[in-house]
Amino acid sequence: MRSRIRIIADLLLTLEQSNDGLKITELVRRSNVPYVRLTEILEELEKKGLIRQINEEEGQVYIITQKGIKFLNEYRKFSKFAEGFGFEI
Amino acid sequence: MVTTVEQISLLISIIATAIITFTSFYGYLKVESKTLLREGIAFLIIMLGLLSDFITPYLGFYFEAVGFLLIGLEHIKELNENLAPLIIIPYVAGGTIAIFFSLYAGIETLLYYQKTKRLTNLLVGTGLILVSFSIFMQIINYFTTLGYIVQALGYLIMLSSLVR
Repeated sequence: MRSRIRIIADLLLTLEQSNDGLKITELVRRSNVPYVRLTEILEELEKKGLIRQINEEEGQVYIITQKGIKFLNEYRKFSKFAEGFGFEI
Repeated sequence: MVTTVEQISLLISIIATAIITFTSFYGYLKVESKTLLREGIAFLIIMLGLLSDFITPYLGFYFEAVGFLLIGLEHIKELNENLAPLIIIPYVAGGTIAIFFSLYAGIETLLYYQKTKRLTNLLVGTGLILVSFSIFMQIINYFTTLGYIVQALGYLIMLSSLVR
């Protein structure tokens, strides 16, 4: 089972790889997280300033912020550290 | 503590575990990973155990047993996280438990290496097994000095996975 932090990292990674941002329906599909739970996580990430919503022609999309990219880099670094001990964070 | 070599070796082990502890807690603060928090607590306990060797020999085994138990438990995710051992037994038994869990954690990490082929897993696994071996040497009171050197080597190898 993926930990909460892993789900968050996967979401941020998905957003990082997407240049134009992603709609919530696309995030549900790609992250494999139920809609209600994903909404809660996205709200939390938005409050922390790791992602933000912007208006596009096709509707509202989520994009990763600079703070989110910084967090993701920290995650990669410490994930590698934990993996050295055989752990997944 | 008898010789300077033992003291220096112990000091190196303390510094190495302190760096691992600090990195784990720093990582927890940065990414809020509970795994890193538990890893930090485990190494903090191990470090306290090593520090206690300066005051009372063998007391450290109890700390190390608990520390390695936490590392071992981290590998068994299904277990209840609130499990806590009550170790009120002579130092040899405490040392035996420390050997068991450090060896277990070492084997688990090496098994993980089989899967990932990452050098860091190999280094940490080898380090843990060396620490386990060093505790054994200290328990039998025969190769005590060599035991402390092997212990320092074990923690240094674990630490080297950080600087890669």
